[in-house]
Amino acid sequence: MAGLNVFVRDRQRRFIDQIDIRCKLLLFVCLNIASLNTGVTGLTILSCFITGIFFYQRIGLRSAFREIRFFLILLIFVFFTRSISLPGRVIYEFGWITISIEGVYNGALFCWRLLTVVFLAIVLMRTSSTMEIKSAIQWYLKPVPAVPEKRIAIMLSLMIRFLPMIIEEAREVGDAQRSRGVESRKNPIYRISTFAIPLITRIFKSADELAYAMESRCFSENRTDPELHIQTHDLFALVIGIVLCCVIFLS
Amino acid sequence: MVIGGQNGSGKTTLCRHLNGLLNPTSGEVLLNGESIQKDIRKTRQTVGMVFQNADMQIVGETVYSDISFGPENLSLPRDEINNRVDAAINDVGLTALRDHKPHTLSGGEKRKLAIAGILVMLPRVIIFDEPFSNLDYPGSRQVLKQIINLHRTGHTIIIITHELEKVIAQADRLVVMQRGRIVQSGSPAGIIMDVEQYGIRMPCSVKLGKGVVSWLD
Repeated sequence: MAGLNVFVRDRQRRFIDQIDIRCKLLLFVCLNIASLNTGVTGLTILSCFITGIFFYQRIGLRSAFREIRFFLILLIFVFFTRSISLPGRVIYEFGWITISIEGVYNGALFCWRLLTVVFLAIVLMRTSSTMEIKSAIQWYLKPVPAVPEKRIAIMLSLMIRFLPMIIEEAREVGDAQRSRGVESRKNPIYRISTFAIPLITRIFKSADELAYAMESRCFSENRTDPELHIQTHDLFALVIGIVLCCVIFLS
Repeated sequence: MVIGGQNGSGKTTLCRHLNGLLNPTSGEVLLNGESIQKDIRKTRQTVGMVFQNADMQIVGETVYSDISFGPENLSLPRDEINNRVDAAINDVGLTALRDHKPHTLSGGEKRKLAIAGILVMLPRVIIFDEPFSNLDYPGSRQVLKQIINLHRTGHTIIIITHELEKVIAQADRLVVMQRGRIVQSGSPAGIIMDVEQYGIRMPCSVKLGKGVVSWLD
């Protein structure tokens, strides 16, 4: 079921679950910015922090990697592209393909950064409901003039709502194709096209059904949002998080 | 009322017109003498719809948050929402599961959750689209009992199904559809013998000459 993957909220009563969603979202953005502007030391600190949260929140690292396996394939592609496209000291040469030390280092760092962003997103989605995230986005966008904050917040929250469903649909399509021996076909283009077409069809059908169901329950932009309160432990988490961001940023 | 018909006969399309999810290309749908399009929000509160695939109707991360989705859309005050959700969750007997994740529920419980999500809007008419699909025997009985309770508490119930067997004993009226048109309408006892010509299986008990027998007996 959709709810079984790591992107779905696991309602616990732990410290991170209880942090006000606005503080959590702010820290999420700050940590992402810090991760994109830091080196190996900063990324090591951030990775240790994320691993700690995974253990604290009892999120399985192995299942997280399994869920993002398609993203990992993309990362390998990005790493390879960076390795051959950046000039520097050549460590391997084959025809027109040259792999440089700088390219490998840069590619690895870039992939590491993207990976931390994804893992931070897993922590956010695992510890917050989509409606809370929607409320926080709406709260932050409210002072910005000429921005339809409610519409944007709903679009983002629906995207988050759909992500576990898409992963589940992909798993089902994959299982159905494996049961019919798709593994014996070695042509990747054939496999991708036979996988993508039914998946996209199912996603659109599901989206249609969900839209009907939401509409029949009077879905509108002007909803009663969850009540948001900032308490002492939220400020404590915010201070700790900002200090961590500064450490990562300056490392 | 039970609306029967084979796949593609237009049952679901008809019912989606009843709460304004689809608009007719000609004519209009009236509710209490007024076009349903006049106040679509009121229409959708009055006519609730439980979809065939309960999983697709569930939008909340917990049983409680899913049931509160409808009243939140109506911008009701938080206290009112909590009161309505408590009442609906109690009506369908899911109080003990209020903090559970919907995906951990059984098929019958999911269907009950979908019903609670509609009950919380205080509807007068509830439409069930294939309420017994993908349910085992205990799940079907659970849902059937729930539907009967809803009828006893004054709700008008419309059930779309091609499995007359499970629900015909409780129906006051049977409507048969074929190719988008109503071809039979009347008391179940009066037309049950003719249903097979429209691609609907006659209940087993009727075939065996025992008349209409309830699934709850």
